Amino acid sequence: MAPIFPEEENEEETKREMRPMQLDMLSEMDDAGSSMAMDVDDLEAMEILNEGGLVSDNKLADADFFNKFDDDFDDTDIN
Amino acid sequence: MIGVMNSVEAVITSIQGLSASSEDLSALHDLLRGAQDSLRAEPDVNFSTLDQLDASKHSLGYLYFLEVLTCGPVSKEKVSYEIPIISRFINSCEAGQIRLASDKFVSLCKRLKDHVLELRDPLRGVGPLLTAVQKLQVSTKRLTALHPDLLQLCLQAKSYKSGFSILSDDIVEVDQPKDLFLYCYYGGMICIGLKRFQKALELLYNVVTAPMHQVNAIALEAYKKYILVSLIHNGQFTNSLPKCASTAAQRNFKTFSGPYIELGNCYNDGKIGELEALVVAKSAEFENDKNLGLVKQAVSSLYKRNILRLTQKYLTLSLQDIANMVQLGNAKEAEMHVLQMIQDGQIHALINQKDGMVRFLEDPEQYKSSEMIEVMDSVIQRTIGLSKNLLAMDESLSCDPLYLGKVGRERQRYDFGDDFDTVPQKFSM
Repeated sequence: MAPIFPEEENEEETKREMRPMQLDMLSEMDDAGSSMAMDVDDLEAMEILNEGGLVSDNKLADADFFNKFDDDFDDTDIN
Repeated sequence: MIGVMNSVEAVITSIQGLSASSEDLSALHDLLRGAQDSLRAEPDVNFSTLDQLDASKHSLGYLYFLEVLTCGPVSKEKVSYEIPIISRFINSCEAGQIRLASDKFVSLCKRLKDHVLELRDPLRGVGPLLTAVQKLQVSTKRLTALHPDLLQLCLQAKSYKSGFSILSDDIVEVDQPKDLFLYCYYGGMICIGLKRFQKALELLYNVVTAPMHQVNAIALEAYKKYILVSLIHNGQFTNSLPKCASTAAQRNFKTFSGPYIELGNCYNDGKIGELEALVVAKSAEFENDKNLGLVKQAVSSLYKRNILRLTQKYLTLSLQDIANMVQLGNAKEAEMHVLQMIQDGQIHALINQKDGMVRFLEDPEQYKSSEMIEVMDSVIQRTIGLSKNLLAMDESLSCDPLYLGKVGRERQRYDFGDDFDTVPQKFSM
């Protein structure tokens, strides 16, 4: 049932009432976390060996993991 | 009594006699390890052998026999026969005993998972595996090898609430990285199914930012869903990965996620027509990834995002105005979206159905109710607990020889002069 409120404004008045301007007191906060990319091992050595660089499909680790689920994630999937 | 026992009956007798105390169990375990090869080769070992044992009192020995009996390829009939036997053992076994042979217990449970999937009845495995996880876990902070298997079954059985029950614990101890990747990825999908998008984002974020030597396929799929859930929940897309993501992820994820990056950028522009056209153009890729449903949710969320932006600018608007501004078909569609957003708590508004006017209200929450105080207290307690865990981990890492060795190498690379003590030689590795 739609929430209803009694008519208060004059119909002849503008139907769009805007909010007063608000100052943005807080700037957007950065993503939490460290400022450096997380290196698992020696970066220079990995770059020399092209580890961690651009890779082809067949170099994906755990490529055989199970991911053959039904695609159920639309608006009709209500739990 | 250590040594190889050739007689099945002797092994049974030992199990019956040595299952009472921890000292006896230690001796029994040595005995069983020594006897397992001969048990495998013993033709007299069959399921009726288990009748001589009590699964709850003789759990360790029972496990050894059950593992021998269920190994190897089986027929479909045998699969149906074994499922209830394994399930009953999981429900009856004593946690302390099975933890002594955790590898075997995990192997047995994975076998149960394979069996129920072969019969296309994943729901049959959910209850037993949930019990198995609870018995295997030494603490709720430790991830087990069975967590991903349980979540996989819950997803395939669409038993999302059962899966969610193991996602509320804060995991801080992990043995195998792949287990964590799968736990967070499957867990994220469970949360998506329950529309708990904030929790889904946290779990998917963990996979996306996990350390990795090379690009991980699980993390890549998690990144795709991370983008979509970010659009649905936050109404925006950030082109750059989180700063703490690995170098491998920073360099490669975008290469493999082209359609999703395009979708995110198009979403940021806020033009629904272009977004829908893009979805149609890339539908094959989204369908192939089984993400089309989630993509459709993202498209739907753009309407909501645009309506949300209107509430920041206007106090009142007509439904027709809303429909025109966010490119909905008519005032009725606008009303449906506004109603849904009110029900979901995304906006606070009143609709006058007489004149089709919507009044946007401020959030009535004053954050001073007893319920809100309980929520805040719970969050604070959790934060304190996590902080203590982090401090303990930091202290432990500070004493780790591998870590100290690496720090020693880094300090030698960067010459800090005499201001810093050098790491003792024995830690330079």
